[in-house]
Amino acid sequence: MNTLLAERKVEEATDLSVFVRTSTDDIVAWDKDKIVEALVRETGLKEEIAGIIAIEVDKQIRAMSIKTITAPLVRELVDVKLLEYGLEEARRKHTRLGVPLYDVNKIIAHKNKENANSPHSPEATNLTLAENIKKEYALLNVFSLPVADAHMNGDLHLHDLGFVDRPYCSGQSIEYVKKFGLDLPDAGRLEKPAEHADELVSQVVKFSVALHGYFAGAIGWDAVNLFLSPFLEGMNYEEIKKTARKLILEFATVAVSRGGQGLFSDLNIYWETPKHFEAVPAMGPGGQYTGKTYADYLPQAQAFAQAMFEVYKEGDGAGRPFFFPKPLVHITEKFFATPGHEEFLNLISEVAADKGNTYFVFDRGETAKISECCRLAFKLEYSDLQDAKEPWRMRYSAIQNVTINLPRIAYLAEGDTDKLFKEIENKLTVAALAHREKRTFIEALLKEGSEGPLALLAGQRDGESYLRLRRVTHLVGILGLNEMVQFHTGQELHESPAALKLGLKIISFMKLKCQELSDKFDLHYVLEQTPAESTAYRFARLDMEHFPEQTAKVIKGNPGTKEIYYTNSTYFNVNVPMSPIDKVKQEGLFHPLIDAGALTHLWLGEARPDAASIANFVIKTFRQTENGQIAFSPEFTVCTDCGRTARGLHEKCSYCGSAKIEGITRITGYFSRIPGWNKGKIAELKDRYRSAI
Amino acid sequence: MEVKVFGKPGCEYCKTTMKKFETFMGRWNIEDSKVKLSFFDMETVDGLAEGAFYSVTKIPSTVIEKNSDILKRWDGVVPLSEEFKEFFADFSGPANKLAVN
Repeated sequence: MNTLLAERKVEEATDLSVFVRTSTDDIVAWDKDKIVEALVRETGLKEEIAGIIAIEVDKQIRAMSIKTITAPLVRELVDVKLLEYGLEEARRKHTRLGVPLYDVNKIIAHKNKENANSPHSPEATNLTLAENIKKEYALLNVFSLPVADAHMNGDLHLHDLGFVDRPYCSGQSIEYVKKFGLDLPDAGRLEKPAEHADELVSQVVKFSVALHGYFAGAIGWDAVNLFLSPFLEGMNYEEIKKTARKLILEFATVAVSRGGQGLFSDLNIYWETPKHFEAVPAMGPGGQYTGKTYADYLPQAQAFAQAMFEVYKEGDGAGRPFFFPKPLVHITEKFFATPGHEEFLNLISEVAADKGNTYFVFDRGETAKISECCRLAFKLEYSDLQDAKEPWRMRYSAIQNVTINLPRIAYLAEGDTDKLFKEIENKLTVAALAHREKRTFIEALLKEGSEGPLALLAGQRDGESYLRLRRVTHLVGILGLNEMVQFHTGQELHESPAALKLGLKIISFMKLKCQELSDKFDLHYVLEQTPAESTAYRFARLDMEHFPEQTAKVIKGNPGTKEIYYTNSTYFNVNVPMSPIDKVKQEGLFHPLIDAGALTHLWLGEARPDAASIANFVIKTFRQTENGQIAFSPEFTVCTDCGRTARGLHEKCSYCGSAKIEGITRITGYFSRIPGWNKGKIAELKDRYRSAI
Repeated sequence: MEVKVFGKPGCEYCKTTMKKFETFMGRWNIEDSKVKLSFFDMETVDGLAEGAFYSVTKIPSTVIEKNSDILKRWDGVVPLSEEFKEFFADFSGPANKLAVN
């Protein structure tokens, strides 16, 4: 606004010499007509009604002895008037989203403990502040009132609301990068398909960083060693290991991916050539076919897998485990039929014992899947196995995760089993609705195409958008089954076959209901074991507030210090001293019912089993149980003074005695520094029953 | 003792398994009160849950159980009467020989 116009505006303000600090960094003279304009534009109110509201607010401001007022305060005054006039819908549309000064101070000064993968830096606080606003936006503008209320009151949890304008996570093949190179929106240049292994590794990591900006959660890559193998032809083992080190280090050190977060990345690895890729023509440098099939590159793929685990075994510069990328090795019948598997199993077991990195993913029978995130898996269906002939097409995504607060349902059912199942059904229906609403929102953003906010996902390099909506899933998370059963029967899952059977019946019911809802809403709903890094704490806290008597009977942790939590997903009480194989067997009973992935943790603590014991355990798990995935979690103490790493959690450095130490172990599905954990997870850590294998 | 057969209504092998146990238990005069034969439909909540408890991943699957101990199980196959007759010996009347033909 030029000076002349500004002066004129001041004159028009007549006797009211109040100035408004606007949200566009300007100070302008008070003008009640601005209220009318805003109400008509934003809420659709008729001009006459908007005019009445504006006159009322004008009167109120005139009555105040103030020189300046902020635009947010004017908006609040207008909102109060709208409420007084019973114009609730208009008030909702007119709401200002933002964060109180006190909260901003807290966010800038203190670490965000909702996600242990978030550092504390200016970049990270930007992310937290943006998340706060998008969270409010989601609850007001993306989801309907019943869904938003169900989240707010803790009946269920809508994950990653701060990332409402993007899908949840993504699993894909590096064949896409090999074929199309790197073509990122706004990058201003196109990188041709890679000619060398180093270049390919760089492109895959850069593409992962880009995808991290488009998905809320993990970025997974299928059969990484297999698809890299044509680029390794002619290299000696040292050169292959150099490439493996580059891949792991580049993923591990990307700490600027999004809000300074580590890049949550998963690398799926096979010792054998998976059956569905055996006859697939291999693509090599320059996006050209090499004339061979992937089965022909088994020696290179195996050498790369071996090299990767040698790098994992060395750890980072201080000997600590790499937090990311997570290596997930698929254990299949063909694994055991492939020569050299004994040595490879020994190596990955050595890494599991020493550093804890290895995730053992069990694909029994004809099952094939891509695993990622904390335990998420995309099971490959018939059409996917057809897509496997052109592996760049294999892209799978979950749009959202909605977790249901199971203990609260038990409180509401008051011991009545019919009511219990009815209430589960009700909550599942709300979750299904939440998914439909998010889906509609994402679809609208995708429709904006290359000019829209999801340009990368809308791109159609192979004839369909990168985000293939026909193959996305909608996750229904489970939390606190143990406490639900405990409240309903008086026994925890591990305490009697009857309690365990009720748990299985509840999950079976949820699985079949998800199938029914999938047919009804034409969306693919699947059960997932929610990692629940913060949700297990949030639900516990809300239930202690709203259902104190009931919650006190089953809550885990220490209510005195408010370090409380519910047991994650379908897990047994973490404090129960079960033998590891019993735990894997019993928890594994639930795994075939949970289509989107399940995992059993084995907390090693200070114990350091030998590789042979782990390898035997893995074989036993594959042969004798239905468990879907296992991981062994050691604990470490890192000294910030001498820089050395000791096994186990200690109060002082075992080498130099310094008290400047921090613990490291697995929080849910990834390693992180314990000081960044929330109170619920700290309580769980104290309770964890550690055992050697 | 209990015989639990896990299957689906549309599965002919599952029907055959049930029929086989019914036939032989009838032939061997096994009293219902002594041996309980049940079919669990894996397309229902109860069947799926019970199947999960026994780690059933193939149909038909059959479990013979006594006092919560599994005496024998078959996964994804129709059991032969030769394979299960020994478990019924204690429940057959004195005059009955467990013929399998």
